[in-house]
Amino acid sequence: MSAMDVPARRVSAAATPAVAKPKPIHYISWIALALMTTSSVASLRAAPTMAVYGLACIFLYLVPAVVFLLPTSLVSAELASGWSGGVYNWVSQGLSKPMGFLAVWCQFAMTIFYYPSLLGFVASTLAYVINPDLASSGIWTALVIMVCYWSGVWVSSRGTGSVAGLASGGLIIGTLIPGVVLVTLGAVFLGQGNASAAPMDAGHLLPAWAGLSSLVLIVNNFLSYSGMEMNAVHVGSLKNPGKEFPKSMFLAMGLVLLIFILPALAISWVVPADQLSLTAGVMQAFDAMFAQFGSTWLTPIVGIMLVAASLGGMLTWLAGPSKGLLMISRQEGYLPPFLQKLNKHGVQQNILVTQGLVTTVIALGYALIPDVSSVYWIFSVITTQVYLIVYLLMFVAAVRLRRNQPDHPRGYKAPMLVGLCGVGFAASLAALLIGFIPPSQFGDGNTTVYVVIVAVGALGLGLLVPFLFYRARKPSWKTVNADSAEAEVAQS
Amino acid sequence: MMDVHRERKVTWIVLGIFFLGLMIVAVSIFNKNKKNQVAIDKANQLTAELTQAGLPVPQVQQIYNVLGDDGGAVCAAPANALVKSILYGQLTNGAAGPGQRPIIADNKAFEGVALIIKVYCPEEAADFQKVVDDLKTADVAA
Repeated sequence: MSAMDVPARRVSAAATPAVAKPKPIHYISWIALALMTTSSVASLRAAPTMAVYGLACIFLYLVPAVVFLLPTSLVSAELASGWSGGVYNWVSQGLSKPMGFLAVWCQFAMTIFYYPSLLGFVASTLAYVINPDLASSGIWTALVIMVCYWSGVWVSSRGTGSVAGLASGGLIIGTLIPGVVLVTLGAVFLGQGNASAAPMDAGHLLPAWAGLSSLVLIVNNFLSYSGMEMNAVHVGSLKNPGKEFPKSMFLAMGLVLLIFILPALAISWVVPADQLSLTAGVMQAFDAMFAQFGSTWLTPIVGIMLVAASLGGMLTWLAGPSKGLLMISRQEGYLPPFLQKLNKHGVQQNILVTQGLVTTVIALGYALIPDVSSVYWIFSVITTQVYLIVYLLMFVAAVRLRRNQPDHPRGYKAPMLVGLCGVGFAASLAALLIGFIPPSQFGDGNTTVYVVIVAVGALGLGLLVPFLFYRARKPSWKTVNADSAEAEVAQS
Repeated sequence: MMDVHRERKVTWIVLGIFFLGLMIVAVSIFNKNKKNQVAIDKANQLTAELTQAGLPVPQVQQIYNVLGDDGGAVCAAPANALVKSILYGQLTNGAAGPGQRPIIADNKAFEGVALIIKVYCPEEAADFQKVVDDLKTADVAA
């Protein structure tokens, strides 16, 4: 992607006293960053799941967009336009350094459990187009997870420019193009005079109200937009961060909404909800869509495109949170020097590899131990709880920064910031609380046991582990000062 | 040492060739022609079952093009632990990223699948029903 590979600029040696040989910055364009952000958050993977709700999927995406997407996007746009480094620096400046470490740790830790489920989806998608029997093979699933994950680590270790290009390419090839195909087919289906499979009248604008279960559905959907702030860690790779980051956020917001809503609607027009076979995975819905037009030859092509998009999205998660973790750890000595080492591209290779080893163990458990794959979903609840801590801290930090540093230059000022932060904080807190309600997968299990598992898991992963790192920190582990850490890592 | 731009170009070319090759393999392997007399008969049988259950009925060609004569992916070990984890992974919110989280699924979500299994692979019906019985559902879809 040439848009990302613009000419380099030299960083002033005076600004980076601890860096012997400043490297050229390889800028990325704001459009590339918008595509990276979109790639981190949205894909067609969710479309069949939400198509079940028919017209109500608009409500299920728009309400969370107002109470969660808008606050997180606008607040992170203001913060990134004033402070580089992403969530760790915002929370460090607004609250304290340990809180900044907690925020970026939570953002980093939750990805460890995300990769196996994402790559499990890749394995099942490939199985659908190659041989459906492979979907039940642990060896196949383990192989796909390992090859894809470590290939992703290799690509990420080559710098932000590589990740930006591939994530943008993956989004265009694997989400935007097939999304347009799906919506076009849906429109053709209706244009041919066929009745929509899902009712499209005003009476179906809202989902059925089933009390707490509906609340769980609506509030959990807030998390559909989690990750919008994550790529702010690359703000130093923009030429004019103050102006360009907000622009990239607005473009990403629009794309995310379109990608989530339109393909889900298109599927609901053509495929009846009860035919969206859940056991056969996402591909069954696409296959049924194409079968309507006698074009099932499109199924394997779209399957591989979806895989490309998923892997592009994975790259952004590999490159983002680990970079933030590195930056604060270098300044404050929160991680041992081994984990702070950079490769020749200025990338935190040892963090990526260590994370990869942990992920490998979890992924192999997921693929090869039946009991683990069946209860894996509970890890996803724990990790989303941990991620919500990041948002709670971010909103509090944003308000404090506006009050304590009102004159700090910002390229963009979010309107009604305090109100936005209040809404975003309340939405995050609601999602955190609703996470303690047992979902379908827990069946008739004991609610207290479920609450204890989620609470202990979230406290252990989100608070205990970073606390232990914090306690073990050493002054000698500080390898750079704040300015040079940002300047050096921005070059990657 | 290889120039950064050249390195990226090599990465793009390698990945491009890989995905193109994968696509060619997938297109050549994927069973696109599932229409035969058994597939049509079973599609008609499923249509009758769906009608009887009062569920929306897709066109027959859509059914046999997807399910063929053996139920396709639906009947590939629907109660297996990994397949169950695929099912569990879809009883989730609308997130496509790390915000994906389980929800309380709609109670109609399994009716169609259960009928597909009944028609195409009845030997799996009991095991699949056990999987469904273990799940908590509610009337959340409109």
